[in-house]
Amino acid sequence: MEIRFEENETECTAGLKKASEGSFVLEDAVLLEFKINGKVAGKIKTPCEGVVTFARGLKPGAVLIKGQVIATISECKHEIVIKDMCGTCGKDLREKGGRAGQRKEQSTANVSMIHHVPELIVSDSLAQQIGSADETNLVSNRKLVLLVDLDQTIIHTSDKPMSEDSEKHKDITRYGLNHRKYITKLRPHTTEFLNKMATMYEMHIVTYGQRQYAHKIAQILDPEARLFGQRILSRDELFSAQHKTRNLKVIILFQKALFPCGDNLVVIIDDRADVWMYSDALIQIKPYRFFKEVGDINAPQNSKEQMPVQIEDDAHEDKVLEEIERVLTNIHDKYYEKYDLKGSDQCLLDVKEVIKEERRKVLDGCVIVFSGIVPTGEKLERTDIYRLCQQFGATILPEVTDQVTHIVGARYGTQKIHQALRLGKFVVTVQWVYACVEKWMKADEKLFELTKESTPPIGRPLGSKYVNDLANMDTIGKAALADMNNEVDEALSDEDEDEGDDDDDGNNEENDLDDDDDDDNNEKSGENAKEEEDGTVNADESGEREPVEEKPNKESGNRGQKRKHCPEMEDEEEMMTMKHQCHIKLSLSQSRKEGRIIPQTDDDAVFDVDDEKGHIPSNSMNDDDDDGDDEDNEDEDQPESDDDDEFEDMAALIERQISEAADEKEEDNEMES
Amino acid sequence: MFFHLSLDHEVCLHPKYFGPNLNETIKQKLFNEVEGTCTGKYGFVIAVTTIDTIGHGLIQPGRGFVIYPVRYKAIVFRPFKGQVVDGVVSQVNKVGIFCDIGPLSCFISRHCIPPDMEFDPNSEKPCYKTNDEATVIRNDDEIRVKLIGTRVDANDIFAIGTLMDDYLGLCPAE
Repeated sequence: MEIRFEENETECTAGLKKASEGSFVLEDAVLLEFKINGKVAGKIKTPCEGVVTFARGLKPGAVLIKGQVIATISECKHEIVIKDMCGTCGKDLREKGGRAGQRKEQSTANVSMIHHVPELIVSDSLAQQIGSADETNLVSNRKLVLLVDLDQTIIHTSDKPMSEDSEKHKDITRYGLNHRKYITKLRPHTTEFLNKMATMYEMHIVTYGQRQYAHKIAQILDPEARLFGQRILSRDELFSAQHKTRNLKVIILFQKALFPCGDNLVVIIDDRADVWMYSDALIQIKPYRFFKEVGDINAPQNSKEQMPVQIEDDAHEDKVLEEIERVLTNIHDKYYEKYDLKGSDQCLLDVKEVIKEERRKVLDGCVIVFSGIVPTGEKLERTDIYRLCQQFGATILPEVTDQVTHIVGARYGTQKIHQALRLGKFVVTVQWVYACVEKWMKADEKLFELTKESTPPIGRPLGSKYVNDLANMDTIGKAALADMNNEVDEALSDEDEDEGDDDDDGNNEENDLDDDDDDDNNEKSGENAKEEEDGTVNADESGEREPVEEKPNKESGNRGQKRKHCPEMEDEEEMMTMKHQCHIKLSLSQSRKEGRIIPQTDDDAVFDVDDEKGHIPSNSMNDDDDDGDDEDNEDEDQPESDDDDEFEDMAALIERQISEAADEKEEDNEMES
Repeated sequence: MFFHLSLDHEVCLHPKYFGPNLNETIKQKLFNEVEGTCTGKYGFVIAVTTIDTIGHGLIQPGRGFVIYPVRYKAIVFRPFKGQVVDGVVSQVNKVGIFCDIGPLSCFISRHCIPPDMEFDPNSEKPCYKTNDEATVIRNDDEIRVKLIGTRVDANDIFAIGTLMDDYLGLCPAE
């Protein structure tokens, strides 16, 4: 809506503006004073609320003519929204009683621009505006953007206690976070590296760690918040409410949000390439490992061992950051060299091009043939090593020819290698390629020469995480297997003994501590055995006694007999047990909710007819209700359950009562018959 | 705005506290549980002034814990739309300024910062400043803000403010 000057007086001049451009004004707010002969004669008010845009050229002292447009009042576009409130007009955009994000009014805001405040979102156009301002600012300061990963890139963190003698290493920080103790070691040269980079790059922390952790590390790296400032992006922000998909692509999305004008200035350092979708802007770094056998603590892991960690032998000889510093300095210099040549009037140069070009220079002119590296049947173009070599500028040929300069071989003595030796080419191990890649420099071929003595490489130096993890994985020992077998046999032969179940449970618990995977099998077989005896023992007597119980008992009886014939479980039976277990888990969780272990499912309702027995939460009881029985075993397997002791006491008590009652009943039955 | 209100709270006490200092324990527990919390309805409980009554405790069946209903008076801070308050700048970024008004955090968007002040990312600490650097708003500065909106959740309040009015902005140094 346009506000016009409506006064009839002549010789009016504009006075002070009472509202600022772009601000939100309420109804009847004064926009402008006007003067006649230098004295304030009146005020111009707005008839409605909205965002003010003053007419151009309206300055104090300008002559006002009747009918002239002074300002326009427009509706608020809600360009900045925080917690569903407009930052401009303060309006609540959330639906009444709605959840976060449920807006009653459309807002143009959908980009989250500030690293650690994901709730603060701005409109695309504003993001563009701010982003381009950022970009010009960066360029005018001759800086680029550097996204820095934390774990295993510039630090290594362990959550395990460390042996004392490792104190002599410097740059180790111990701290508590979320009731856990952590030790963080900075990669050698980190401080120098960051300080140097800060002059050339605007640095951001991008990590998959938690927010508190990221901020803690930032504090360690940069106590005065000069290097990173508030530019810290952690898992909490990456997986915020707006981005529910726990997808690696999220990080890319975020990158787009943070740099709405494109990532032309963005360089990334990380030890993993997959999270960045193998972006060209990524400079992959050899993962830094200081504490032995501790991977990325922010990667999922289940290890419970609390052994003091050893220190990786070559940790303090790590020179990677110095190499990377050289590479990044080079990229920065090259970029601005080109930028100056090109002139600033054209569109922004992409740093990715510079990176690509620099990367290609590393192995430029090398013609490589692989020998014994690409498995037969696999396409050469699809392998990692091919991608790597090509990225770094090498040409790869399938066969040895005159142009070939290097043969990369896995072991000595292949036909290609002999051929190459005859032609006098370099014959090197794969390590040579990795050395070049790590340092961004052609490594000395002599150091990596492939001879008869050289052994094939174990794992990969770059991203060797998985290989190590696999190697460290626990395997089931022969002794454990034998134990398990024994236990099953025992359980099967236990049929007549009432205490059989108790023993089983004890064993189960023991094994629980050993390994989870084995335990499943173990448990299963144990249960089978129990079911069997339960079924067979009880089928006859209960069949006579309770007509309603007939069905399930028959079933369990049959199952039991079947098992007797083939104790080693056939597929069909395994399926059944699986189903059975699912069912148990369901009913177990249900009964947990109610604070007691009582079978609650439909099947159980059938069992429940025998009141006393149906509700028995006993584990040592020889009882018709095999569901109930199994549940108890399950329950026992949860060592963290507080009620266990109490529960067992109860069970024992009830068991006693029940067995008495059962005896009486049996007597009654006998009497009747 | 600050209010002096009469409020109720239930204190749940473990039986081990039953003894000569029972009332003292209840009071202490009340202070711990109530002061510094926020309810959407009444705002931030700043301080308990008096404890009016401590009712009869009720033993919880099956647990042994006792719940005492306590009636107390407290000073509460409840921000309202349109209120003018003083705050401390906690963060300055390209989209706006965050400030803390005691326990309440408040955001001032760049649209609500006078247009003669511009964001300067290159100074030591990021700041908003006028061209002649007469006024500079950076971290830890005191500013006067008018609240233009509040988001009241069950246990938190968040506010949006503006600096675009007379006498708002940087508080003159005393």
